[in-house]
Amino acid sequence: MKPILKAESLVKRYDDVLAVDNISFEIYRGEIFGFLGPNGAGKTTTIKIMTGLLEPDDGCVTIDCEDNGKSIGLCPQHIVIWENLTCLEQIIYMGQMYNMSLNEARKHGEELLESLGLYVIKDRLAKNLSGGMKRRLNIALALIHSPEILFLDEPQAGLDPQSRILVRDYVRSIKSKTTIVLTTHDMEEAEKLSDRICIIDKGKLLVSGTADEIKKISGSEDLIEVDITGEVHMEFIPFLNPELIAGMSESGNKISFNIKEPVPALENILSVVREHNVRVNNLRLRKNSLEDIFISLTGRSLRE
Amino acid sequence: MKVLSCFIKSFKENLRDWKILILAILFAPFFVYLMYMYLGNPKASFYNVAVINNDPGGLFSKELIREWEKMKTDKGKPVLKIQMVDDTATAKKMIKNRETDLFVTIPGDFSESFRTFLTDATGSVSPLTSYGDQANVKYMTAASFIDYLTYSYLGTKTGIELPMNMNYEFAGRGKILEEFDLYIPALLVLSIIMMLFTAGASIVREVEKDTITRLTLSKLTSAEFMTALTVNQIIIGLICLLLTLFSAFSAGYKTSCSIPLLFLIGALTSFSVISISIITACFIRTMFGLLTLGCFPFFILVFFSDCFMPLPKIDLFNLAGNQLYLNDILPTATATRAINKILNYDSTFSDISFEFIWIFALASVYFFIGIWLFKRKYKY
Repeated sequence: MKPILKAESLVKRYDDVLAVDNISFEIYRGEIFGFLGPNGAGKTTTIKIMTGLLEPDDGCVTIDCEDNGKSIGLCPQHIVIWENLTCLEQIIYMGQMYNMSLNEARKHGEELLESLGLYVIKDRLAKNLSGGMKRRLNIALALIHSPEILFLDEPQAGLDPQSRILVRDYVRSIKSKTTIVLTTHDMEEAEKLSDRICIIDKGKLLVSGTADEIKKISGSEDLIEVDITGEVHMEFIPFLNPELIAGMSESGNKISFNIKEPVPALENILSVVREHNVRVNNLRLRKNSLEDIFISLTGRSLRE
Repeated sequence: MKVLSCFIKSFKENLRDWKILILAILFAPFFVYLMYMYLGNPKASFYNVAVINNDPGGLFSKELIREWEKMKTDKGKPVLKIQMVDDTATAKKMIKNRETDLFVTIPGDFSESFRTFLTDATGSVSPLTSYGDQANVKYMTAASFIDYLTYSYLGTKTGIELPMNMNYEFAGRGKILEEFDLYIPALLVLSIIMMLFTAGASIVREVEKDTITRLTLSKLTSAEFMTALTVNQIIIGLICLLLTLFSAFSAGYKTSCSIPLLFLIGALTSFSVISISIITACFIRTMFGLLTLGCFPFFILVFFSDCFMPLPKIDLFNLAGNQLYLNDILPTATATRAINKILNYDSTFSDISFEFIWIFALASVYFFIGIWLFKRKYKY
C-alpha cells in the first residue's frame, strides 16, 4: 500500500540539542497513527516538520494528497482559538481561509459543532467557554476544511470523561475519510484509538507497530507484580528460573516480573521468595500494558 | 473574499477588544481639550506682566499702564494681564515660578522726566526696566508688546514720529492664528499615531494566541492578511481623525480647508503608522509587550512629530527644491507639516504634493520592511 505520508531520515537540531535524530516512518491512508513519547522526546518537533511549519535540517516528508494546501489539519497541544470571536464565527472564518464559500463553511461548521457538542453555544464568544469546550473548539477548527491528514496533538488533555468519550468517538467516526496522527501521553487512549503506534524518545524512533506487536517486544504478554514488606533484597533473583521469567524491574516495594508461562512462573516466584524469607503482601497477575512497554523503553526518569 | 473575511474578523476583534480601541480613539480628543484648556481658552491666552510702579503718583506712568491694559485681541479679550506688585524680590520670584511672563519696573522719576522732556524738550525720559526668562517663549512676546505700546504712547504724546513703522501681516487664512490652532494638526496626527497600538494588537494577538499557525497552514497569504489589516486600520485611523477634528471644532477651532484632502493625507498617514506598527509587532510576542515596549516607538513618533512640543529643525538634505529635516525620516513628522498647511493655510493638493509623495514613499519603504520582517520571523 502506498503511504499517504512518508518521513525519511528526519533530522532537526536546536543549537546543541538533537531534537529529531534520523527518524523514518510511513503513515497509511485511513489509519490512526499513535505517536508516543515522553515530554521533550521530539514529538511536537516531528509534527511541525510533517505539517511544514518547520524545515528539517536533513531528510524529507512526502505527502501524497490531491491538494497539499488543504491536506493538513492541525489541532495543537495548546488551545489556539480567537478569544473574541464566537464559535461559529471563527469556524466559518477558518473555512473561508481554506477557500470554502460562506454557505459551505457555515453548513460544515454547524455540523462540526453539532458533532462535538458545541452547537448550543455556537454564538458564544470563545473567551467565555469552559476549558473543555475550548478544547473541543480547538479540534473543530482543525477539521473545518476536511483535511486528508489530521494531526491531533494531545487532543484529550484537560477534557472530562464525557468529553473524552465524545472526542474519541468522533475521531473514530472520521477515520474512514481522514488519516489521523495522534500524539498523547494517555497509553490507554492511544491503545484504544490507534491502529499503529510508534514510540520515540530523545529524538529517536524506538519502536513502531500495532499495540500487540509492541507488547510482544518484551518477550512476554503477562506480568506478575509482587508487593513485599520491608526493603527489597535481590539475593533471591539468581534462583529464579530464567526459562519462565523474561525480565524484571523494581520500584519501591514492588517487583514486576515479565513472565512466559503464568502458572509455572507463579509457582517458581512464590517458592523462591519463601525460601528467602521474603514476606509477600500482595500479588497480581495481569496482561502487559502499553505503558509497561513505554516505561521499559523510555525509563522512569522524569523529563522536562 | 478571504481578504474581506479577514477584514471583517479583524474589525470584530477590534470592536470587542474595546479597551485598546477606546484608548486609541479617545487619546487625541482628550489632548485637544487639554490643549484648549491651556492654550485655546481666551481666559488662558494672555501674557502676564508684573509691574512695579515706583512713580505711583505720576500721571504719565498711570496713563502708560492704562495703555498696556487697553490692548485687546480681535475677539475683544485683553492681551496683557497687568499685575501690580510691591517689591522686586516678589516679582523675580514670580518670574522663576512662571507665574508671570514679564516683570517691568517704572522708575520713580518717570512722569517728572517725561514732563520735563515735553515742556523743555531737554533731557531724556527715564527708562523702564524689563526682566524675564529668555527660555520662556511668552517673555519675548510680552516684551515686544510692551515695547510697541510704550513707543506708540510716547510717540502720541510727543508728536514725534519714527522714520519707519513696521506693517504686520498674519499668515493663515486672513485671521490671526492662535497657539491652540497650531497644535491641532499635530493632535490630528497624534490620533493616527495611536493606531500603533490597535494595528500592533491585530498582529500580536495572532502571535500570542498562536492563531498565526492556523493562518500559516491555511491558504491565506501574508499579503492578503496584511491587506485586510491595513484596510481595517486605515478605517479606524480615519475614525480617530474625524473624532479628533470634531473635538477641535467643539473647542472653537475653525478651518475652511478641503476635508477630502485632509482625509486623503489622514489615510496615507494611517498607512505609514500601520507600516511602523508591523515592524514593531515583529519584535513583540505579547499584548503586555505591546503596551509596554510598544510605548518606545510611540513616544519617538509623538516626540519627533511635534505633537506636544515643536522641535528645532535639523537640515537633512534638499530634494527637488524642498528642504527635508531629520525628523522627516518619520512620515508622521511630514504629515504634521502637510496637515498644518491644509488646516491653517487652506493649502491645496498641489501645495502639499511633495509631502504627499514623501509620506507615500516612506510609508511604502517601512511597509515592505515590515512585511519582510514578518515573513522572516513567522515563515508566513
